[in-house]
Amino acid sequence: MAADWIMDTLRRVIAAQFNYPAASITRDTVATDVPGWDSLSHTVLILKVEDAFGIELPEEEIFNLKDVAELAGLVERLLA
Amino acid sequence: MTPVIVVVGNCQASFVANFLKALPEIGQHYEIRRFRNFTDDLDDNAAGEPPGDLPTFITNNKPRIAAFLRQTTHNWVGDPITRGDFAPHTAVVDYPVALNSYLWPLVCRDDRFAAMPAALRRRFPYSLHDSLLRKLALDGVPEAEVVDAYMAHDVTAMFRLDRLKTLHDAKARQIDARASFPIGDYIDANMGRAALFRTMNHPTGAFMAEIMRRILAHLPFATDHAAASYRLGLAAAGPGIQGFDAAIDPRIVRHFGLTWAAGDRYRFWEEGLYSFAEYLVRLHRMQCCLKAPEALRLQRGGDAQGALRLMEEVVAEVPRSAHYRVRLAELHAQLKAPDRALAMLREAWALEPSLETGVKLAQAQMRCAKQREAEATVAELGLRFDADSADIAIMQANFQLTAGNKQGAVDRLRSAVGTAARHDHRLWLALAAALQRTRDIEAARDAMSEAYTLSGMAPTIGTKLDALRDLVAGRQQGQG
Repeated sequence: MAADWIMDTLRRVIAAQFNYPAASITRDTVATDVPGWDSLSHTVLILKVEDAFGIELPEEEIFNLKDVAELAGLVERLLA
Repeated sequence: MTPVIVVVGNCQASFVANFLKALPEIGQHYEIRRFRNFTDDLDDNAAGEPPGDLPTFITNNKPRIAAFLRQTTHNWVGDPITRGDFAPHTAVVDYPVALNSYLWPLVCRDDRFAAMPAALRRRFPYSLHDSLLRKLALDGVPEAEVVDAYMAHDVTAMFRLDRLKTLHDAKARQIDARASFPIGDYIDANMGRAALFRTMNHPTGAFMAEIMRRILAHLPFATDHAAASYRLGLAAAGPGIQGFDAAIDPRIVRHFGLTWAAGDRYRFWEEGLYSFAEYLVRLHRMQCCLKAPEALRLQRGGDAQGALRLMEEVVAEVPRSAHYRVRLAELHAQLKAPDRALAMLREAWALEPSLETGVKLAQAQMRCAKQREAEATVAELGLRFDADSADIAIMQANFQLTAGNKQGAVDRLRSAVGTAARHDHRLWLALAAALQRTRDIEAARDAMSEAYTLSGMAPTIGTKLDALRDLVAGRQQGQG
């Protein structure tokens, strides 16, 4: 399971991107739970996630993530 | 049992369905049914369309579904429908959705818009919203300062735009891989030199025409290539999807070297063309004119005076609107003020020289006995637009008639029906009228018959055809 600080950062980035309460974002949150998180805005979100962690996420994986937990897991893998 | 072509998708699918309906060989022989592929949010459904029940429709109509055209999105929402759900004769074509996220990286859902009445919200769909503008509004930045405040934030520094494009392209490749044909190659080849997108999810006419061309290549129906190519040409010259652009930040224009965007003119519905800065102010104000629909309603209801008064207010409120000037000119003409109508059309033409406005201007010039001006307008239309268009041919034939050259009018129209414009029933109608003037009644009857068929058997044209048939029969009896 991804470290708490990774989840906290993701919460902050997602909340800022979609003007959505950070407290409502959990590991189980999926795109359709968050108003405005569609396949187009997902691309911008990924860019913001990369900026927040100073990494580049693999392009072949970023559009197949099922929920926030998978995004957090991918970030953790790259930071390891 | 009429065969049906099912088209699934959102705005782009609407274009596809309408295009197919307009092709005589398809539109006259197939029922075209469209279903939306998402239904969750009114902001994404500016047209307020009902979703329809696609799975039930497929189950109940399986034998008559000739083709199933589905927009392939990245995140398929709805029941997964597979090839096995259809009869063997059904052609299944997955066409890729055309999207662009890197020209408008600040797109967001702005709650200010969500709280608006539906009529206003439909004028400001989600693809126009801008997170920086929202922040400035929430910070209380006054209207007079909003453009400067916005431009003080450099969007090219806020986003690594090249990386965003790389991410977007990766997604587009995934969508292409799931579709029956790709469109990424077309985007790569044309993005810098031609306008492909009006908003993040609305392609231009040129791009939609290309998508349509590729869809047609995957349909197993025999199509009239000339008709398809004529319609594709019209589509390419047209606006594409809906009547608004999302303005592109000039710094993004420069970053991606979008030579086509140098004019910096973006459409806000029929209210006209605006620069990026002007557009920002309108978005900040949420400014649009809702009086126009009421004026048009009054016009349709026969209250021309009331419509005129209201439309004059509309034109004063949205001075950039060529469209509303044309509507105001129609009202002036209806109220027997041809000089005012002409003046209004001149203003409209100066604002935005479109084919529709040019044709109406030339007609108004003719009504005001300014034939030389009308001829000049039509000559310019031929240069700016399709010289073979039915509108231009009909106008030029009218010039010949006005000059007393009936045969010249017939020759001009005969020449036009030898082009791709031959599928336009108005051309045949004009030819029939010109032939009647030359007393070639049999040829007039044949031309009217073509007009009748191409018009989808319009009753008014049917009546004219019957009259010509009677004339021919009477003449033959007289000769007998």
